[in-house]
Amino acid sequence: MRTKINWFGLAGGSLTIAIVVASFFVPWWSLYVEGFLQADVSPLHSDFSLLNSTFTVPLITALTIVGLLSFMASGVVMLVYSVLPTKPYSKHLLGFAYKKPLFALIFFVVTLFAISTVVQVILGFSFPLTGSANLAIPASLTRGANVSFFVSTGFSWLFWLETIAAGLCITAKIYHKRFTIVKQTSEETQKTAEVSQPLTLVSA
Amino acid sequence: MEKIRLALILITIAIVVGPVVGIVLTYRNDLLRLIVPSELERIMNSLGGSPQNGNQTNQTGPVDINYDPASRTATISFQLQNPLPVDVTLNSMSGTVECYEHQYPLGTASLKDPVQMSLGKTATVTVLAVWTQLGLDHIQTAHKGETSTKVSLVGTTINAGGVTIQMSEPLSIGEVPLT
Repeated sequence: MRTKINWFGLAGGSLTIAIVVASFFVPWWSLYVEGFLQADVSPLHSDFSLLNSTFTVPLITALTIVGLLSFMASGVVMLVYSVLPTKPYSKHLLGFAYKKPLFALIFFVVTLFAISTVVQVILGFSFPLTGSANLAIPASLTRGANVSFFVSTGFSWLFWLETIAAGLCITAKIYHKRFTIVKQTSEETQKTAEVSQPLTLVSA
Repeated sequence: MEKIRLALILITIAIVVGPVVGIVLTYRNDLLRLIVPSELERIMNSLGGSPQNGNQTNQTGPVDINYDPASRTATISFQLQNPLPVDVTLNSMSGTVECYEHQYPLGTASLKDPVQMSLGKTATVTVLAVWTQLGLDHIQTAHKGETSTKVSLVGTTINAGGVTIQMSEPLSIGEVPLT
């Protein structure tokens, strides 16, 4: 008997676990102001440095731990589901695993937009989410002095890999319907065979 | 099947609630530290600077001034203490030298060479000031007979590290010899 595997789920789950490991070394998004500020962020791991002094924000650390555990659980459960897509409980495994990478992606992008907007509204200047710009801090915030700095921001390859992982997980969900249809068809065939079998005997 | 569904729901709750509750309990006596850690506060305090902690910019008067009448250039060197909690390179500094008494522009000033300022250390900053003909005329008429006059740097623009700062307040240089 040929083993049924949800290949999209297998790829998505493997990629999700790979992203967890890579996130310790590569941020999803970075903000860099030479010699002043560096922020390397992702929903799984974040590093901040101000004037070459690194610091951690406990609340962000807690949220990244949530992200880390969610991604690990999602990846592992997706892998388990992928090799057992026809089991009665596979739907639950898939439902648990496929949403998390997508939700993390949406949450991350929305948070970046929100921070950018809040900075614009409260402090009066905005930074690009990707690219470089010369930013000027309003004089009202700097006791009359005009302070400007060159800021570079950008999404890394890991962010785009995460979008692929999220896409694969969604595709795995769509592809799962195929297993359901196959299962229903085989059950119907089995029922038909059971019904037609006595008739055959009678006619014989 | 229901047990698996329940287990997955419990895992989701534990993953979300566990770390957040854990960190809140850890910082329950000082919840502000959840958002503003002590390291960040320390850095911000050192940025703000105060005379008490000795981090305020400590600029002393001119320590060495040489004037070359041929090129109308004054070389002004003064001591500047690094006000930041890190090493910083003063890449450029420019502005207009103004007569303190009459607020009359005498010439332009610029940093001679970039200066590396180590953490907490004082570095010698050398500025080249070139008097304009109008500036010299002002000195010869408004400060006739004087051997020195007080000057200040206005519209000062400083580039340190990647940050450019344009000062709104004049920067006092002190007494500059006129001969």
